[in-house]
Amino acid sequence: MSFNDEVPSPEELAEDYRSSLEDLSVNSRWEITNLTVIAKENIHAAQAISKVIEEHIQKTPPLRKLPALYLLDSIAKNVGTPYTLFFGRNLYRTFMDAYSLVEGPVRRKLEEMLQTWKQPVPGSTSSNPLFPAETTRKIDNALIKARTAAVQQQQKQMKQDNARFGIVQQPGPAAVNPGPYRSTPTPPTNGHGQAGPYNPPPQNFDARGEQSGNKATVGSIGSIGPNKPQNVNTYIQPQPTAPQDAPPLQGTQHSHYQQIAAQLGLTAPNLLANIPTTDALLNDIRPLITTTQARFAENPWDAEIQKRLKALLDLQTILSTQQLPTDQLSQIRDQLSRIAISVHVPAPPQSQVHQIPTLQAAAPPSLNMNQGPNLATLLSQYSNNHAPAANNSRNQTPPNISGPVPATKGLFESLISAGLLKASSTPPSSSGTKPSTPLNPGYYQSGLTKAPTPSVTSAAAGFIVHWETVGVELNSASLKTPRPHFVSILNDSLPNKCGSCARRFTNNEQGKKDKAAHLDWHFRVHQRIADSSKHAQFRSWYVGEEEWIKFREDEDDSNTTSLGQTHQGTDLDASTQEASSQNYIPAPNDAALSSLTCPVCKEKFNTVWHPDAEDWVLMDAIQSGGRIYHASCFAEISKESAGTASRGSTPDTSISKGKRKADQDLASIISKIKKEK
Amino acid sequence: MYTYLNLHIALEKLRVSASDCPPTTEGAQGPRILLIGPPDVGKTTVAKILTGYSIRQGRKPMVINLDTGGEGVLSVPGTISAASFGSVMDVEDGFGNSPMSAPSAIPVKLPLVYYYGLETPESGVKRYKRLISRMAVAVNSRLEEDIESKNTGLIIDTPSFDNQTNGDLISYIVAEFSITTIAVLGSERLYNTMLKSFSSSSNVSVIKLPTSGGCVDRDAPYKKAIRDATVKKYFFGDDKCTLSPYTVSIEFDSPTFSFWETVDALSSDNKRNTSFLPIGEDESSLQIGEGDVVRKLGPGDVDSRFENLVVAVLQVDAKDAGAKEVAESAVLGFVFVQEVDEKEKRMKVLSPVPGRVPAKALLVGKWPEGMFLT
Repeated sequence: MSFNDEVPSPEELAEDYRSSLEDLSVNSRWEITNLTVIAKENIHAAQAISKVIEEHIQKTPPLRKLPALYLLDSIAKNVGTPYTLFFGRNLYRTFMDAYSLVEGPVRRKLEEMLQTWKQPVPGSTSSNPLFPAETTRKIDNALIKARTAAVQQQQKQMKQDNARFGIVQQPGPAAVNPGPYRSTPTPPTNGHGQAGPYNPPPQNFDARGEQSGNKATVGSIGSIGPNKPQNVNTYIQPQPTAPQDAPPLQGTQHSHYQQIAAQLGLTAPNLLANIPTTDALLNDIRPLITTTQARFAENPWDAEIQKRLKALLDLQTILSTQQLPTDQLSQIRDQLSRIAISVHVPAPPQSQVHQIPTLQAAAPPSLNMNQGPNLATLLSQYSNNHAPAANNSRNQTPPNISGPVPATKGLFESLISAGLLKASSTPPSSSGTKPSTPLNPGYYQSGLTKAPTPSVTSAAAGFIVHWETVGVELNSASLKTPRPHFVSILNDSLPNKCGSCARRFTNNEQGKKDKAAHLDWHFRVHQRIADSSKHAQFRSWYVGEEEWIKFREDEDDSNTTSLGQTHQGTDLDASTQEASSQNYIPAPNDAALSSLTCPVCKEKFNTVWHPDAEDWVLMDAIQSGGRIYHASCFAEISKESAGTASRGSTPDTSISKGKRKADQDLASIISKIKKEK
Repeated sequence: MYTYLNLHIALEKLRVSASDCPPTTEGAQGPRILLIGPPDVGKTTVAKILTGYSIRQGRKPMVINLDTGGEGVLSVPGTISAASFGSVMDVEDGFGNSPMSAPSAIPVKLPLVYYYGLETPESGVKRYKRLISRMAVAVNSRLEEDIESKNTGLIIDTPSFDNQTNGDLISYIVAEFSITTIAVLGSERLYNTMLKSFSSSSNVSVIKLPTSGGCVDRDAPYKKAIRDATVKKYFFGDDKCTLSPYTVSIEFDSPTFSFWETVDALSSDNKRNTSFLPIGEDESSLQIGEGDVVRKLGPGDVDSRFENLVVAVLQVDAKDAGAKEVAESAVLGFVFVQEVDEKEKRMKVLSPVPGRVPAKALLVGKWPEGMFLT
């Protein structure tokens, strides 16, 4: 606020107001009231201020949009005209722009706010709504349209994707961002059925229940996308497989499912009918397939989705070609209803690497690509290269891996293995022999892209990358192809991450040892950082070429001496190694004493950081009668036997070098760096 | 971004095959990548990304900065430096810190630093090349002894090469460091030139990278501020670790030090030296020989124009400093000239390390330009 006598110009006010708006980051009643009062006091600048607010709402990041809109709401309700007039002009745009960018819960708040705008301001005499009815109606209509458009768009998207299936998917941004949805005001993933807290549906996909952290991470790359689950953690335990357990359509789940089913265009009677018919089931499957295909188009690497899609297609084939007993139909229906839920909700991220039952999911390595899938070579390749643990996951591929499935029996097996049917269900008498549709052969056989799934194996020993199968070359064209799965190579080749810094280790014994040593190092450094505030710190001199060539910064992370000794014991190593076993006294803090010399040899002391003493010390020093001597000099003059703490045990080269050279702190730097590493 | 990831994986593939080779063979040599391009296309950023990625994979890249105009790596502007990155980098802090007496949560990196003292390689291309050769020798000897680094290879950041005249210099760098991959950022023309010049050599591949996503042109004041901040950080540390430099006094007419100055071949100063001298003055003492890249300064040459400059303390001792040694010497550290007393022949300098400034040759450059350190 200006303190001039004159009334500040609207421009100045607006500028001030703009800067105060920048601070409005959370939904704070106090701040909003404050800003409302300012707006009220400067009603003469209403036009400028409302413009500023509108601009702010438009520009501010989505997280801050809600408080800004609340401010607009507050001003409109508490101040009224002329603000309502100014806001009303652009209300549609202001509201819809913000609405399209914010998250589901915020949207609901916005909708609630919109409802209040249709009513007269509480306590006011006027019975007119806050904003003119036509303005709010326009917004209402847009919101309704957006919802329907979102559903339609989704369907359309699926069809397009189906059409595109034969060609190469360009993953990258298009797949990762909700790009296609930008054109619609509301991304469809946040429909109303979804906005609230979500109960995870029963998940049986991983009947074996084997889990491990790094596997989960591998899997999660597939699920980067608009549908990223918000409650990842709840997916971690697979539901125990209880055959014939309670029907899934009950209680909250039931109503939830109805919502979803309605959105998917399923008719409730079909699903809830006690005796399902084949036609009804086929009707149910169709939208599921389209949804899954759309999902697949978004995450082509998500093996879970691939698997499910294939199973659904197979199921469709069975149903359309043969008659099944009623009990099986109802079982299928139950299962479908679960899928309907889980398909609508993003696939659990724990999926891929260890449960890839179909060959398509197993991602033929690039070498094999052109000659088509060949399971035998694949498996033998893996088993040759890796521990049984690696095969363990691979070998559990169902028998119908490559190519057409000959019988319904096989289909059921594949459904079971995909988790779509329970193992207890009895396979029907097989008769039909219609081959299952291969998922999308063109996708894999295209020469342009390489196998989309990383050819990596989670073995017990850690993450192994089959580098010979990584199909990226050092040329400009090859580098241009996005390969999101490389992220997993980047992160998972050393899966064991230090909790305090970004350092990574392998998952094996050595890695654990290294990590333990590294954590010790963290502890020491932490202590020393706490201590270091007592001393003045300074930048060290750089080293010369010779020292630099010999220097190894990661020589000593673990305080193990073995590493240090393997490096042919340079004189620097020798001096520090030897020195640590020698006598030392704490270095005097007094600056005058820092250039202290030994009374015997008149040479300076070597000041180094001593890791055990956690302090700067004078090495090879001994204090006697208030004076400091070199331990060895002292030993000589006191005619003691030069056995124990003697200077003779130190190579002369290192001492003379360390002492005579002007850069005597070199050794200390080096030893320090080594300890710090 | 995915291009950089692809590039990293492609390099990683080469590193894996290098690791599989016996250490002494030629095949154990990891990929050596040179990043070139016009200004403000993200060369240093890509260097950082590639370094970070390879550290994440447990590699130990040797990072070499040849960009004297930029902010320097583990050093001040105007230097070229090389350092092995075997430990994590600080996400907030670029390439991190060079060794200090203070403990650091992010391990420090020990660089080998040479002071060039001019902004662009063109200004003193002779000396620039000599420093590069010298550094290449040191780097190669280290890689011979450090098999991990050897397998990982080099990541080299360069000054802005955006025109044809640098072709010779690029070839020189490629030869000295046995570059295997030249990555051109943001310049189609430079890429084509490189393709042409290296089409004959089978062991050098030239690739094109897109400009980093967030690149903007940085204006001169911003760059200057960054440079000043780098110098300040060298002496005073950063938020995480405050360092205390010491003010010491140097008598510049004593034989303890010998002062040298870099010669800027493009500057008009050199010509003036001969043409504007009073008649009778001994021109030969000041004449710049064709091959000279540094010039010794007498006590009379040191004056207040040195104030607020960064002066390199070289590794070479003052007493045996000749033009050749000074021109090629690595750097021990830097001092900052706070005040020059021409009468008393003394100057106050800010020294990073307590105690006297070692009796070394001191090299005064024109870059980084003068600044005020508080």
